Amino acid sequence: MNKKKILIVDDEKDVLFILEKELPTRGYSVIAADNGKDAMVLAKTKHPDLIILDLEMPDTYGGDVTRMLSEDPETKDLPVMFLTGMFPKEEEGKGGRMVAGHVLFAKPYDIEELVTAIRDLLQAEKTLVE
Amino acid sequence: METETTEKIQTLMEKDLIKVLLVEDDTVDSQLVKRVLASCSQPVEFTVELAESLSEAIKCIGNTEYNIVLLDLRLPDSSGIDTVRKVRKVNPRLPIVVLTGLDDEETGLLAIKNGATDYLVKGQSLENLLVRTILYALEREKEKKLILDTNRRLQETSQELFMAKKKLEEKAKALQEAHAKLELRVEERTTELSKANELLKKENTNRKQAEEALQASEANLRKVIVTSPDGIVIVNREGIVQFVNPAAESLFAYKAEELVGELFGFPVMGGEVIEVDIVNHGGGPGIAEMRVVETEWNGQNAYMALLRDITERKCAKEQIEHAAKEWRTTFDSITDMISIHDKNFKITRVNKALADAFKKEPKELIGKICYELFHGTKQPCPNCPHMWSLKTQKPATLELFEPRLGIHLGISTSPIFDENGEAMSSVHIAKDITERKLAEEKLKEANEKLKEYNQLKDEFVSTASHELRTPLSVIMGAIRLVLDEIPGKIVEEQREVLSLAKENVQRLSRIVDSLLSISKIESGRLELQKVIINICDLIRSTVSDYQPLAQEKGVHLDCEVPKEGVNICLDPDRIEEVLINLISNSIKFTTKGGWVKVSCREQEGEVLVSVQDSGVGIAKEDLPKLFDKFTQFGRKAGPGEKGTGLGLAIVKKLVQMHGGRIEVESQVNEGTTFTVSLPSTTELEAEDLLAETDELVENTLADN
Repeated sequence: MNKKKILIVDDEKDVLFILEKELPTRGYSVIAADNGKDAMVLAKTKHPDLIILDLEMPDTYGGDVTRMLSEDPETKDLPVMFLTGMFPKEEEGKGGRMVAGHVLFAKPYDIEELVTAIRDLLQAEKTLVE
Repeated sequence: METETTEKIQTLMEKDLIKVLLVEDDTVDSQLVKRVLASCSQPVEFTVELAESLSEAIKCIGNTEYNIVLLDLRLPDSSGIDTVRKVRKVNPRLPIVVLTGLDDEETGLLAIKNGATDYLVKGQSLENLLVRTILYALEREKEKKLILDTNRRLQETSQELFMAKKKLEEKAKALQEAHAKLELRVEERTTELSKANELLKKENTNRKQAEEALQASEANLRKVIVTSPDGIVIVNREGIVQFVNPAAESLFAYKAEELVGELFGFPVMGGEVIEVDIVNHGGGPGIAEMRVVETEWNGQNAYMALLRDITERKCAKEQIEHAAKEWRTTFDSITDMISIHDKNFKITRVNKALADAFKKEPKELIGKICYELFHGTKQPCPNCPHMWSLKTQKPATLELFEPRLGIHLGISTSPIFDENGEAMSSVHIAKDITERKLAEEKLKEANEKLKEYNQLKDEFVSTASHELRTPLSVIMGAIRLVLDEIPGKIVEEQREVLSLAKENVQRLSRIVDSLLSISKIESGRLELQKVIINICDLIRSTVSDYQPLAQEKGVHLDCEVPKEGVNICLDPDRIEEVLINLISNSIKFTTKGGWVKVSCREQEGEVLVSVQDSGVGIAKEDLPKLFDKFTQFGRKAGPGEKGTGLGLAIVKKLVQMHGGRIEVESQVNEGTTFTVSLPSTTELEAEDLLAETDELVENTLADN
């Protein structure tokens, strides 16, 4: 079975560094981008199964990336998860918070919860496609 | 019977000669009649005249007075009953005896009906009957006449009687009328009399009243004079005292008998008013005002002196003058600038402070127009409090900056009411409030700055926590990576050290989160998402989430909620946060073998949620500061997460946002109970909320 491919987008390279190391230990292959533009390119060329987006980046706002993704026929069905420091952990609830149909995760994240959410989201996608 | 008749016939015959007219054309018959009558044995004498026809008979009856007619009904010029009628016509009174044929008795009866007195049948014992019949006829006629006469007389008497009765009745009527008139007159007279009587009584009463009034009036006058507070002295032309009233006695401190007959001693001139020395009621010297008028006394010209004690009035006047002076001094001593303005904005009075501010004398400012003088304008100020006070009849205030004086003024105006209760002017008080104004401005500035700082602080906390999150996330991840031995194997000691680092990074994360949370609550940016839920479900699920931690610590965690549940309107996420804070706190401060109990009950419009533990407890002196930010006491926590010092502060604020309150009871070494009271949701509120939710859902569905 092919490993699921996750595209991580964050302007903080350290965040990318950690996730690039952590997620493969949980059985995912990871590609990363540190800006919105690259993220769009990677999303279209590398065909990830899921994208984890930072909401606040110097060149692009995460929400804009989502919009661009959803407007592009090639990427419009790509599931998106946000990882952000913009709201406190208390507001996250259990297993992330749904905002406008996307799962929202607060930084700092709990890797177990994050992995569970990734798995659930992919599962849901699979069900949807089938 | 026979004897009676005979007697009567005898009486007739004694007196009368009977003249008979025989109407008969038959000579045999007439001879027979003549013979019978001539040979009459009765003591009567008959003379018989003969008429041979009716016309002759009528002629005879017209000329001679007969006692009786013997009438044959068959005559040459008349026959039958008609003959009787014709004879009767000539003399209605004449007795007629009809002579009829043998076979004609009916005619005889018919003749009687037509006026004949009797009839005789010829040849039928005529000799026997003739005389008797004649006599009977005469007698009958006589009786008839008698009856008629009697009747007539009776009628006349009756008439007379009737007339007499009528007259009597008339007289009775007249009498009655006269009586009625008389009664009327009597009545009239009686009324007149009683009226006259009443009038008399009234006059009497009036006279009596007048007398009484006169007496009363005299008594009143006497009383007036006696009780008059003004002294009254009557002096004659020579200046000798004639009369003194009690007031005058006391004014001069002499008895009336001591004064009367003595010289008055004061000049008396009609119409003059002078002041004289008297003894006032206190016994000391006093002053009276004396007014003299001309009058009469015992028919002589005299003077009446009226004396009024004006000692007090004189004193009062001095007091008034003093009060006015005192008022003026006070008015002028007030450092506020006071003026009185009439409705035409004219200044009618000013105090010294105001005059000094304009470097003028007070009188120089009087009559000036207030806005011209005070503000240098041609129009009243747009929000002139003086105008407002006159309009509303209420005090008014205004604060303004007076550039010509370079000061801030606080002006207050109060309407002054005249005797009709109308505000025709106002008192205008201007106070220099420059200092206060400056202080206020400074305060305002400081406040603005404080607000700004507060906002900056909020922003800072918010940004800082954002900025802190990413590095925290990296550190956390890095530690995790090493602990997971991804980069390479580590020894146990390294793992212990890194675990310590990990725990503290986690703690730092919680602090950052709490900081952001409290900053959001304090700045009012947190909005509650209220729904109606069963709070018991929420408690149960939170308690079960914390069961593992409790078991790990050896603490018995229990939950006691009503089976039927308690529905309440709240933000479930926030209340869960409250529960988490309280439950985790309790577990943390409860030692192994202890217990934590979460319970819920409804009481008097409130839902009470308690978290009770058998933990270490909190010292009494620490309780008041328990809910402050960054307060951590020496509660000896067991192993586990360290607190942030913000948990209870957040809990308190979240409870307050729900309109509730939190209370704590604690005993050191015995345990602590936190009780959260939330207002119950009434059925009505619940319905409203449900309807709102339904509407929202419907709208959402419709939108989709």
